[in-house]
Amino acid sequence: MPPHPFDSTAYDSIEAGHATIRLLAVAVGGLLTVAGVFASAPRPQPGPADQDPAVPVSAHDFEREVKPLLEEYCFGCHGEDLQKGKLRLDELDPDLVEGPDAETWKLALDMIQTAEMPRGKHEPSDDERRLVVGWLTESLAAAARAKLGERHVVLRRLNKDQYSYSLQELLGVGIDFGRVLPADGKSKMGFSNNGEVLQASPLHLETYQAIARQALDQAIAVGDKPAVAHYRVTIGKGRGMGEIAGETGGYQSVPLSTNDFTVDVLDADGALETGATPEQQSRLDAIKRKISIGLRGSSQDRFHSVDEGLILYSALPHKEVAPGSWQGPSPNMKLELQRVFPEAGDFVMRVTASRGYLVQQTKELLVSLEDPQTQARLTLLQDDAAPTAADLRAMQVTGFGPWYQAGPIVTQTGEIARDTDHVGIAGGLDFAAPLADGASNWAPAAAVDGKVQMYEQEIGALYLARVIEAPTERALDLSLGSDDALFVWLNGVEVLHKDVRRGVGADQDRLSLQLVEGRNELVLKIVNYGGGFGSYHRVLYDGTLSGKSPFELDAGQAWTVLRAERSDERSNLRFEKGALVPEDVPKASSARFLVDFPAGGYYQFDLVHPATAPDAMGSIRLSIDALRLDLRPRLSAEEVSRGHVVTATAAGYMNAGRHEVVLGGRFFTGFSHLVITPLPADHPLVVRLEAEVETEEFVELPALRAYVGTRTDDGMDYKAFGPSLAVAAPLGKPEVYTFQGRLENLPIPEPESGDNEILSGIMVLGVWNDHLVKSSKETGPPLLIETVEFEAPYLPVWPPASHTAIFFGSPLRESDLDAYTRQVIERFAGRAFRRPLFDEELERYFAFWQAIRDEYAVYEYGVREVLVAVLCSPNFLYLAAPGGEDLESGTNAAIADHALATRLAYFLWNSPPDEVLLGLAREGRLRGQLVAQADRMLDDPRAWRFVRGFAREWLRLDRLGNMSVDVDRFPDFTRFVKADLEEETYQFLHHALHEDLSLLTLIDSDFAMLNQNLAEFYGVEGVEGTQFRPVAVAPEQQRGGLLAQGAFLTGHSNGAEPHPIKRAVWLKEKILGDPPMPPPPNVPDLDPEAPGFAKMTLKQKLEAHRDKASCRDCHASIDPYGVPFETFNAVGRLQPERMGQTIDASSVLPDGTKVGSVADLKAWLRGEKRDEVAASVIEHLFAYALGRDVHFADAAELAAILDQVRSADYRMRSVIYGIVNSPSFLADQQ
Amino acid sequence: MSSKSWHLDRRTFLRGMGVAVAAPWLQGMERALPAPDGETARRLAFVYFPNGCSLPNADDEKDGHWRWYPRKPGADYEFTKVLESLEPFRAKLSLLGGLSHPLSRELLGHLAGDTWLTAGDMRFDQYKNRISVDQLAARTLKKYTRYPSLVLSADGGVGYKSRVSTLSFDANGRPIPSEHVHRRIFERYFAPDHGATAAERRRSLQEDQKVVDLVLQDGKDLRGRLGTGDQQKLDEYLESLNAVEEQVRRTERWLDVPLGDFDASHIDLDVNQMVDPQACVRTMYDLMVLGFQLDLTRVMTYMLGREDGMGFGDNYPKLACGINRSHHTISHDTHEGHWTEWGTFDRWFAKQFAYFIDRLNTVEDANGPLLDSTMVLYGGCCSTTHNARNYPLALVGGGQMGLQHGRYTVYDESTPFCNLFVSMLQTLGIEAESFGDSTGPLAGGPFV
Repeated sequence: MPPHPFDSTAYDSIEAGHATIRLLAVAVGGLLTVAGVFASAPRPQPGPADQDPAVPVSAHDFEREVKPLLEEYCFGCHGEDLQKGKLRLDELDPDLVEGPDAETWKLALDMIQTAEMPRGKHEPSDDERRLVVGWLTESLAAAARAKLGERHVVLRRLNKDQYSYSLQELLGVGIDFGRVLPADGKSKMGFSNNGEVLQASPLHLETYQAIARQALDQAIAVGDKPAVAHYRVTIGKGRGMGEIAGETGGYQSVPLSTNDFTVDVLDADGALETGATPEQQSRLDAIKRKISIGLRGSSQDRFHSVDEGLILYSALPHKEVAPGSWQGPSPNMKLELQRVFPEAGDFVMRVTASRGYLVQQTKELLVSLEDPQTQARLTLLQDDAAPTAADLRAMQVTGFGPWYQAGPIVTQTGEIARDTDHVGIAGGLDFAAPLADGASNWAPAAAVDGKVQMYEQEIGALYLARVIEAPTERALDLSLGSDDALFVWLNGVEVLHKDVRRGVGADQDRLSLQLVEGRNELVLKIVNYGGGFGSYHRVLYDGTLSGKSPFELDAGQAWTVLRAERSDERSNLRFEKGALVPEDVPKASSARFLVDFPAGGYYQFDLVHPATAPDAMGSIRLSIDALRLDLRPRLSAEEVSRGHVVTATAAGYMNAGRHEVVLGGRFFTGFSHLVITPLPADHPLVVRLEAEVETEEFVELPALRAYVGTRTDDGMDYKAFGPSLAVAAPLGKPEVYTFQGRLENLPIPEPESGDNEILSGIMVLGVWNDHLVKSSKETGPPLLIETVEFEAPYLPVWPPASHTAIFFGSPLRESDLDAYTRQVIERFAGRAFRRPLFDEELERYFAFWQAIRDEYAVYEYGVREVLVAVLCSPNFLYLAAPGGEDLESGTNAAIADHALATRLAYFLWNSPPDEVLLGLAREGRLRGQLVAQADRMLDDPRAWRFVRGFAREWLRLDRLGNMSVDVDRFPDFTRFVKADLEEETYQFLHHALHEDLSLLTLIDSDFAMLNQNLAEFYGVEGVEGTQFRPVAVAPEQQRGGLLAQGAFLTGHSNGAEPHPIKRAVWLKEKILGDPPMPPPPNVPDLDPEAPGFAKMTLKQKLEAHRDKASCRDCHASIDPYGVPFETFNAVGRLQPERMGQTIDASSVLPDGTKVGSVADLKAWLRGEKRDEVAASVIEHLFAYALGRDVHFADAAELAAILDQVRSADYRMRSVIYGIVNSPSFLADQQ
Repeated sequence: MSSKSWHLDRRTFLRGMGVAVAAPWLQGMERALPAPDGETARRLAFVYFPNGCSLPNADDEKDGHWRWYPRKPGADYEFTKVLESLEPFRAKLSLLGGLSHPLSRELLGHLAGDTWLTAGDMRFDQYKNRISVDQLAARTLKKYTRYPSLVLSADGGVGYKSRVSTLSFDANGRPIPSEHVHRRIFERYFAPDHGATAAERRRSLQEDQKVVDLVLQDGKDLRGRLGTGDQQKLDEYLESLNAVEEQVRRTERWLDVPLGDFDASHIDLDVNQMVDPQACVRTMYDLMVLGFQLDLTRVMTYMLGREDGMGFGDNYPKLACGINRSHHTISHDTHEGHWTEWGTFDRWFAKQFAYFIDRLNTVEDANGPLLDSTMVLYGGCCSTTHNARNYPLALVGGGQMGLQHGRYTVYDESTPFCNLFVSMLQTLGIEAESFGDSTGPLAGGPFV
């Protein structure tokens, strides 16, 4: 049995227009609700048919019109004589409302609709079929309406959001408490605040209790103010030299060199901790080693460490790949804190930043020198001078003893391994004796020179050592690698101290050692902090290659002289008379150096090489990274005769950092030295080159977006928090930008995880430049970050307000603890229950405290138990209006007013009433002020909770969230675009409500709520910055109203193409308030065998598919609404053609109206259908406000509200006023 | 820089447990087993996958090997590529074909998911659900264990009617919220004392008990002050509160019976499903095996994913198999090669299930491998796309309870799926004449 074709992608088929699901969602156990009811039931027009039983439920008469058809086509098989499928139709009660047979009639309807029945010799005509279907549909709808009227449930549990907000406001603790609760269900109209659907379960109650304890522990502060983790990093090129800080590598993360930042540990007041004693100092150092800075590894040309700090170009959002990607936008920087942060509490992050500038990375260049001015000079020695005895001794080879290994020596932590000297390095090597720890011994090691060697994954240290006999003083160049930290000693003196955490690789570190004549002792120590454990070593140069040099070099102002024999890799070259020369001249030669340039700037490169005769075609190829330059030196006869010459090969701009320099090429001249000399700023060449570099001015502002997360092996799990802040501070006048958050709400690592993985337990605290760009070629306005500061827990006062709100200051506490506690309980429970307590309630809680108080040594903990019970009470968890005959009428009225305040607050704030509302309720004045209060509440920021909660569920924005868009087809549909599309709809609704616009604005508007990111996606120009604001849009841009918003259009596509039917069903159900019938079961699948299937658009496939009587009838009332949207593609952008075909968006609506575009459709909705649109908005808001779905008995109230709205010129707020003044809303709901 | 190993949590609760003893058979468990009546423990688990299964025609030469079911029934059937990882357990499992709930046959398959273990009636857009078979069994079996049942899923919560995210329903036919966060499950069921001593734990339970009592009074009081409609709604809350109270008492009763040493070092509780769905599924299976091993409960359900592309599991094909389509999309796909994609993903699910079975077969209690005293039903409620007939079903284990495995049996539609439940309940020693619309016990197959 194939599916209905409209759910052919990850999509909930039924909701595509097939309302079964919504029906099912409401039906409570045992109640019959029949399909089709929602097609007409909730219409607000006071439909006489709904209320007057004298009016027939259907326009068709059963006995006269329907029964004859049934007799002709059905009763033959399902009648007196024959009951095929055990089904008999002729005895069914045609009164579906009162009779018992509605279910069976529904089955019959399904059969007829699928054209499965009848199967007789002749088939009914389409008109006959339509008549029977019409009668059945209308009768079933009426039956359902009748049943719906029986339901009356209003008691509502708080849903997850409401629970979190309630607890937050009650306690003044900003934790998303409800996160761990089981997810709430949804009603048929799609709302999760629906009393019927919100169930309670043992899991809920257990969780409530656990949350209550945790929450109160956070709110109540007993004892001293906790210690604060307060750190600040300051970034600047070179400012960290010699200072202690951490460096953390890892997949796709580039560590900022510890040379380029410093770490300060601060106290709670922000003063620098200095470490007066060695113990304190070592504690501070230990913290600093746990703090590092990492940058996202992609697009490394888009961040730069500069003198003033760190430059971040605009971030390029990561692709929207379901279910998520893992690295954050690029570039981003993160502070990495390993196990030096608290688990819980408020925290603050302060970023000192200003506008940045473009770092001229791109000006890196290499040019030949037209007017060579050689920097280096040569002084030739006598060619025929015989080598001296010293020369000969210098040519003797260096003697390398075998490697010895000790360890791995296992320790509990890497820090112990690092800080312990197991060898007694200063005392000299004796491979026969045990190490200084008395337990470990040396053993011969494998000959692994030039290979990465791995060890058991222990935490600890490993030593490698060898003895080297040098015939003369000489240089020894080593290339090293390690996992993790590496320390090297030569003859007892530490020559390398690299405390890093990294995976091992070849050539991670280079070291040039000066050997003494005779015995030298070399010791390597590798420390493993966790994870892999490995080492690498290779001798690059041992001093013996250098033959007698026929000349002396005067390198003048040179920064460095690279000697040919010390190149680390070479091919097709041999050493001869102090120079490397090609072995096979026509073949390519190469010699490689890795050179660390100390600073960015202009340099000249002079090559000292053997002079070659002009006919030898001597050539030089110089490559520096990707830059390359070829030249053929033209030598004078005099130079040729000299034997060795200096050629000014090139000049260029080099960035600071490591570069690969390669010399060689075919017909290579060979060389003995490469001399690198910096050029002064006033050098004519520099002046000329500088003038060529364009500078760019930015009008737009960079912005800061902060996030917190957990470092993982392959990325980070993170979440942004706080607002996006535009950075207007000019360069040189940085300002502090502050972000606040709550650690529990963010994906921080599980603390104290106990394992020793290098990347475990690292919390990341980061920012990116939120002025987003669309391609990595754009820089956007650069941002300069100077410092980042982290303070947690952030407790500006102690004890915190959350504590003093419960345990308020009062002399009673000293004089009469019982009376004080009674007040504490009464205040807290009263706020929790959102009403005054009954006397017996207060007594019950107070008696409980008296019974248990002695079990708790600390007073507050005893009271806490009472408050836990308060937070588990149904009076807190449910929106209830308890009353009773035993109460005075004034009490009942007061409770009813408090319940009204509560209802109002959870409607317009999705959170509890504030003191103003409760005060009005207390004084009995609320009912007279509902409109004024509604206005006040809508102007309050908490109205955002209402707008988001309501809009998400009314407009089904979750479908956008769940949509898996084909990012290959729409590469600029990034995660940020997706988020902003959703935000656009919230902003739009909030704006309309805040400004009290006409609700017809929802259909079309002359503005759109956009920020730069979204405007660029839509192709709207002139919008800058991250903040949303109303932007005027011309009609031809077609961006006005909900119907043009990507949240709807993308959410109702299949991710690749628009889905006209989903869009049509949404329009009918959400905007027109007229949900279509559910689909019958057993609808055949799309038929890929159909002719031309592959070349059809989705719309055409659907058309071809339903071209049969059973489908056509229903779809005739659906599809026309979806067709006009065809000009909007799957991501909501205008697209005039698809699959090579011009899009035909013209459609004839079921009422005969011809529309050629979405604009026409909007005009029709705003004109002829304005009351239907208004009614739909009213119904949905009404259902949301009351926490129950609308049913036919509400029709009169809804109609009255519509009247008010109409006479208020369709103002948005008139809907709110109408609802809060409606009898249902005002009533005590008893 | 290897991947994360499971680690002792920050909270010190495990530290008091002493040296972990490796499975199988742990001395510490002896006190919890066997059941008080002296019989062998009998256990029950249900594992559900959504969206149907790959079922090309048996005679399809090109794609026939991607059938979930073997091509031919009988004892000498050949596993296809989909289920071949179950081959080692052939003697301990039965494949059952052709079964379905008669009331759900006409429904869209996704809806049938709500009725898999209940045989509820959702026709005509109503929603009559009832107690699920696992919960019915738990009523009897809970007297032996600390918890009546574990209800697990990939997404947690209840979802919503017609697209639930739980397999289990209570006596009123209301869905029971499922749990899905591995660490929370572990802490809740396997380490409830958080390192506390028995005395501390008892005190904490007594605190809980007192709070519950107080709240119950409060609730009853409130009930008296509400109208009848609201009273019914509040009863749901009060019933749940009673259940909590019952569990507190139950936990207190078990307080002096140590949980027994166990080795959880192979369980990665912080697995990230975005990165490693296999580990995510297997960790849940590990927790289930450990739960049975420690006799925490004898009844478990685990919903591997939600129907209709609703839950996180819909991403598994992308994340686990490199198929660039979601599970629900695959189930609809008709493009060239779609059987391969669907079969490949079903095969992935089956491999994880085989891991579960292998673990159950390896870990032992006093009477031998857990698998022999545990009946596991693996399957779903659609066969081909959204077709709520011929459910894919594999019944595994329970050899000690007399099941005779080794065949692939195909039933016709006169046999309701519920007959299988009746047989399973009877096998567990639960007196059940019928369940749902059953017509009797299941004839043939593994039941003799």
